[in-house]
Amino acid sequence: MSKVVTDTQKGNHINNDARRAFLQQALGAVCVTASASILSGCSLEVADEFAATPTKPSSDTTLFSEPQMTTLFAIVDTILPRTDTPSASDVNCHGFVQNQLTRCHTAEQQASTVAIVNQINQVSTANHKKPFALLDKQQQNALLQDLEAKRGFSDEDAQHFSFLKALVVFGYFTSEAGATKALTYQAVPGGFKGSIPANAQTKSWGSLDYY
Amino acid sequence: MQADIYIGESSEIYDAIIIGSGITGGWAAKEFCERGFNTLMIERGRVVEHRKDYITEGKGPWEYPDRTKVNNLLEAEQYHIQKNSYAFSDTTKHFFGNDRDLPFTTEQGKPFHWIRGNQLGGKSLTWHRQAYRMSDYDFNANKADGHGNDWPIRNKDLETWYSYVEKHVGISGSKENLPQLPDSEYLPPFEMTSPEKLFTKRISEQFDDRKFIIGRAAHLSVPAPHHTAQGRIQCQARNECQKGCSFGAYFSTQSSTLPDAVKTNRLSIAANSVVHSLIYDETTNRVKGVRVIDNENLTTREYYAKVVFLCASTLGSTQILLNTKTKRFPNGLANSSGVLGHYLMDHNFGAGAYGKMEGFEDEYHSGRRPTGLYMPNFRYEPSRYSKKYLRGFAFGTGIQRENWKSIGYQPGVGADFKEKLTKPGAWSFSLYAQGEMLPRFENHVSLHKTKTDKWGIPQLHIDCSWSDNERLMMDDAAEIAVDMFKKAGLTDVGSYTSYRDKPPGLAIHEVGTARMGANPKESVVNRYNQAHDIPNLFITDGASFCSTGTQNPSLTFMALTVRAVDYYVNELKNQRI
Repeated sequence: MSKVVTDTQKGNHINNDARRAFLQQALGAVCVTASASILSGCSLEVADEFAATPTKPSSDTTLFSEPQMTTLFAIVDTILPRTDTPSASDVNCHGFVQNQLTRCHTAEQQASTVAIVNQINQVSTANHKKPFALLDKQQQNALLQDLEAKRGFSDEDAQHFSFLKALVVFGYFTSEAGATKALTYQAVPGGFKGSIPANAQTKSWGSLDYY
Repeated sequence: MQADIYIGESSEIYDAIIIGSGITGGWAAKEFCERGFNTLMIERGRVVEHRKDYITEGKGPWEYPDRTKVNNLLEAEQYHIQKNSYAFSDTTKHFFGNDRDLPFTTEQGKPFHWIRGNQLGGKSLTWHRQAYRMSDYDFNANKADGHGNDWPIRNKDLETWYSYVEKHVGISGSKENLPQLPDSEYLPPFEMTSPEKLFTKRISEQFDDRKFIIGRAAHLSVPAPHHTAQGRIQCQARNECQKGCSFGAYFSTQSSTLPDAVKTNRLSIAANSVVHSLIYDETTNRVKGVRVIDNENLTTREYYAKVVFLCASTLGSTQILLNTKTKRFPNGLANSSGVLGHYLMDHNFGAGAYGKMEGFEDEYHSGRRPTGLYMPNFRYEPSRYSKKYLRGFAFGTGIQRENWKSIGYQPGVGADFKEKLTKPGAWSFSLYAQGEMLPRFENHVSLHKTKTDKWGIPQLHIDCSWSDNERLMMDDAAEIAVDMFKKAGLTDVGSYTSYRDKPPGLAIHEVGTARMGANPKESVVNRYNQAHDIPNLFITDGASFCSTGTQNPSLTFMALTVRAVDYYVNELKNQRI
């Protein structure tokens, strides 16, 4: 992981073309294996939201290798699959995780997240003779549930996964679709009411004070 | 705003110079201008125009490259202090000082987080808007237990001025008749949620001396006609105030005091003007003006006036005085007492508790209320003190249904988990203490002997830390919070203390360092915020405080400032100054 640390410290500017090419390749490959309809969610326009502006320093966002990104893609969609609302990868949570880790988190957090992604794939390969991305949905679910329950995984593994999961959840519900489609968004509430009725169908507010 | 109010060089002798444009500076400008004084407001930072310069207002989190988080490299290089503020994020960072340009030093092993807001409007743009009067118990506290000097004022000196500013500002709140927290002039209070009402009832039933009220906040819950006339409208309950509010629904210099000052055509503003020091005339014992270094091109200029009001923030004002060295005042202007820079205080937020209230699954709220429940200090006089420490604390709260931010840490993956994340969870409660800090001589600031900033001004050296009194108070506050939560029937109750990790400064309630007092030998300003040593010099911001109380201090800054202007105007009229 020393490369990541060095690049972050040096504040290398993103080579947009190189990154674009990488994402195209990495996400394209995954999209093909997953399903054709995911393609819209792999849009580079979404990835471009993460581009640094010239007025502030940026760092190299290439944290995950192509195979690691493939695994991460499958992990984020196991955590938040597509239902009547978009999946995590539909809103590019995998790209978000890479962006956020390299730009807003510590080298230790970057390293531990890459490590848990590797670990998930290794356990999958050992138990099922297949990479995590190629397991069926039940197997993927079961593996991550085992991880949270520390069955065949250490306390530390579970902690690292918990961090990754929270990051995915953050990325999802701060995306436009996550905040406004999966939740109810009030940009201008118009005032405060202390009591309104709620039932089992009531969605949380997607518009929050602080994120 | 018309462009010609912004000036560069000027040889004019103004009736008044105000250094600073935040909560106190804005009020001083309004008062002087409305009383017919040609006034110059000096601001070290850039101009921020109401509405036009609220560049992040109304944006969703997805519109930020890092979803409202700040790039770690940018933080490390330019915001390593500011990042510790609760209000600092990618959505607000343009209203925080840049630590790379604003260096200061601290004593070894005694960190201090000096949170800055150097732009027109200062920290009035980013403040927490909680507005409370201080009581006679607060003004009497130093005298009662012998720590610090006696405030030379009491509530009777300030109450008409509190009323005056409150009516203009617009404070939402409820009349409570509490001896330790005098009522203000109110707009209607914000509503409580149903679980908050039940919690409040249970606490009042179990504790004679404790009551939760709705936090009093400088928000237009229902605007009065004079608010509407200024273009201010009802609070829309966005609670994104620190980005600036185009509705003008919370009090800021831009929304409230500056428009009135500008309307008089008597206000000039020198922005990007970093005050180096004051110009002092030994023969007349008067300040004549200020020496300024341009924020951007570092050229120097001077401005002149008949009176100078220092409203540059607690530590900003004191730094200017310390850096004004004359034959008569070799240790800082108006410092014949030797206490300039001493008795620095802040509030201690270093303890709290959390819990859950069962039930109320069929209740939710609409809108984001810009205030919470508040419990005034119940240890407000020596007979009510704990045996372990002096003074007391207030409690603030955060009470809401859980959302994905906490549910995301619960176990689960897949469609069911995703569904759970989209639904409001249990009613979650948190309490945090806001504790008084004793005035102590050794908590002080001075000028660094060798280090300067980019304007060549000596850096401020801060030597300040919590004492056992603050630590014991927070240990106790954590226990008391847990006890109250348990007695109110909450579940999953726990507590924390954080004062070990959170140094002074983070409350952004820093006060003291040019304290007021009756005795010129032990204080810098008199009961009217006028320097004992120099009649035409006033310091009306938090530097003048003798103790912190437990209340958020901004409302008192306002009342002290308008009172000081009134005093000066009367003294001038009667030719006593």
